[in-house]
Amino acid sequence: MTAEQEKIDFEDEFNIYNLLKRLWDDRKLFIIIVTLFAVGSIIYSLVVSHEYEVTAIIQPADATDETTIKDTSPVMGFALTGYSHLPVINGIMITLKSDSFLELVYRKYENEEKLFKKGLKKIDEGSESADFKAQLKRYEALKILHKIIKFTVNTDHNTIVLTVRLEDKVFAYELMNYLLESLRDYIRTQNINNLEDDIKFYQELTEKSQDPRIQQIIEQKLTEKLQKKFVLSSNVFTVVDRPFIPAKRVFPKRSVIVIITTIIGGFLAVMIISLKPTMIKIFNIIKSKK
Amino acid sequence: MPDHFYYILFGLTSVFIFLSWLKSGSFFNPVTIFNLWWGFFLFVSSLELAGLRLPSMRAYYLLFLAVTMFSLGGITFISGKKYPLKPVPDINKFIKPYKLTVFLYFQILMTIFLLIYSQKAVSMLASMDPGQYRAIALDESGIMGDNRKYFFYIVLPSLYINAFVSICGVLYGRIKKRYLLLALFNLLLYSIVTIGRVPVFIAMMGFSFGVIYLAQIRKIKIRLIYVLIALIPVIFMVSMSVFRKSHASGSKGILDIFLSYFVWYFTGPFTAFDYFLDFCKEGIGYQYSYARAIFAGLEDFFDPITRRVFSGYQPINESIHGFVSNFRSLGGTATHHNSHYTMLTEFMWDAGIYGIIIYSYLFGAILSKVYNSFRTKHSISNFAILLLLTYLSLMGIMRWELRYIWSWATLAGIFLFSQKFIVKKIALDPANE
Repeated sequence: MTAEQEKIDFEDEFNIYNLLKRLWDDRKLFIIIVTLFAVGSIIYSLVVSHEYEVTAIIQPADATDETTIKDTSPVMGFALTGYSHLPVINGIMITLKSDSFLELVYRKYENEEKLFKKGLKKIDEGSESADFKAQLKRYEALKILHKIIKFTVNTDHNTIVLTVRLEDKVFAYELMNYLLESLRDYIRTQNINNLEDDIKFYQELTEKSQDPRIQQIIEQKLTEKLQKKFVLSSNVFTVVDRPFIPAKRVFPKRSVIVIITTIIGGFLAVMIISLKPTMIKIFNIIKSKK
Repeated sequence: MPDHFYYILFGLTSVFIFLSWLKSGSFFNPVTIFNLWWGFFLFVSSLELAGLRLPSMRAYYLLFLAVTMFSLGGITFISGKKYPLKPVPDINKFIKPYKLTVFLYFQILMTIFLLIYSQKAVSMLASMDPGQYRAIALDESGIMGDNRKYFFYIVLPSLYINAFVSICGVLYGRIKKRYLLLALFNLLLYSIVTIGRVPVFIAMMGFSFGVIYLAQIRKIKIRLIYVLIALIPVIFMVSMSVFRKSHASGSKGILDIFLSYFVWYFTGPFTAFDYFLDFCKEGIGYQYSYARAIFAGLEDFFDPITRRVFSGYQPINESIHGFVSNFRSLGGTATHHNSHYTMLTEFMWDAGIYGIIIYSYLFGAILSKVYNSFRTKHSISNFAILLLLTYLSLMGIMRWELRYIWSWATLAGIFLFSQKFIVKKIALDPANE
């Protein structure tokens, strides 16, 4: 074989038999790699902080109801692009995602280490100006809240599943209760503000209109809006499944972590063993050149 | 986007590209192509272009996992390069010219069929806007009407079989160029009938990767003419995008429309996959389908028979379709996204995260085996299947194409067409061994 051939002719033909044979020959290496992954994942799953999840299920008062008179405008006047669900569900989802709502939670628990850990305190220790620190703290806090507060929609039942995930399960329970309360207040206020704008708009229209038929139609609309205002003031959503303090952690799922990591370790070990002859040849070429 | 996203992205892709290069001896192997393609679009998606919502890190971790497993499978099963290249025996020969003539006549038949439909399409387009036409193009109320099944079972696979066989045959120098021109013309006609870009895109990808693969084994040299040929479909796709969107795009320029489409199609699926993870949970939105989702195209193929034998049988595609067919907003102006949720959605549908690990690994391993076979036996079938699988692995960024009849039918067709009906296996010449 010429030197040129030796350089590149790493492997004659790949087949499963060769791979299995190599695996058997290098079984020690295989076992070491897999064991490293398995043991590493076990240690990780034992050391990593436990996380608990508090869940609540809410059902909007009337999922199909619109709250504004403008057909093309998003529910509650938000200009964010929402998901394609029913209007009120969309409204709740957009609220849960909005920074302006999450800021209420931030203001309430600004100094709570169980929620923000030491992330916000570190910013306080910095040498920046107070204004900049406040902006940075708000940014960090909202980022953390977006991670902690999650929601999913059950389209079959038109319900929203809200979850709060934290290391302290009692605090997570407290936070969830506050979240439900403030969400209800926030949406109610938003709805009423929107409706009041609408009512004002109708009243102006009625005053301007000279035609009694048009006035009658507008007044009918106005009555509907007033009725809706009453309904929306009293009921925004129902909590169909109340939160409770969880008994078991949701993270780490030890068995899943260990199984997945071990499988990946196994595949990686097979790849390393299949690469071994190539590596040896390259090493030999380098050695012979020296 | 956190910094560690970029460290993981560039770290993983460069390690896998390097290792696959080291092992295979060829830079442009399926693992490299896969990593470059997925890596590039993962990077583009992190830039939040075209107003698309940024996927969560959880979605990105799963995407990284898929890339890793594909690469592990690919690198493990890829074989080394033999150099200097021994003369590899050509095992497939067109020994009976009249069978090649049958192949040509079949293509001409397709041309006539598609010409009739394209004429119908032009007259329909005169009375409705392109967006509306496209929306119903694949429905029973669209141009295909009651003949949809023939299109999906026969016409579409035939077009792709013709295209892949012709591309490989021409690049190998065993088929005359007119066959390829006719195959491409047919794909163009089909694109006009459905005002779709995919058929032309498939041809472009097939041709480009064909040239790259053959250049790697030193069968051909990359010439400027190949680059120019590969650019023709791009011009067509730009024109088609502008035509389809022009009625709704206002003052947007050609480049803006094309770039928006490019970003929506290639990075929107990551956001859609994140949406799937958020709003479609196992046990609530779906039940694990245990390997049915990845073979959904086969299920659909046998659907007419299965429905007769098993009453109450429901194909898995119907369940998946129930979720993916809805138009959803992904942020910005991409308010009508559906269907493209990345191949990981089907993997998750089958077996959750274990599906992503196992299927990605097997996909990489299978592609490498086909690549090995292509390098050791120069046959049209090996080459065409390699090109098709390469295409499917890259299009996994959008969706699992083996969910559809055409992909399975094309795979089977390429195999049968070149192995049994047109091409005959001949004994290897010992002198070439």
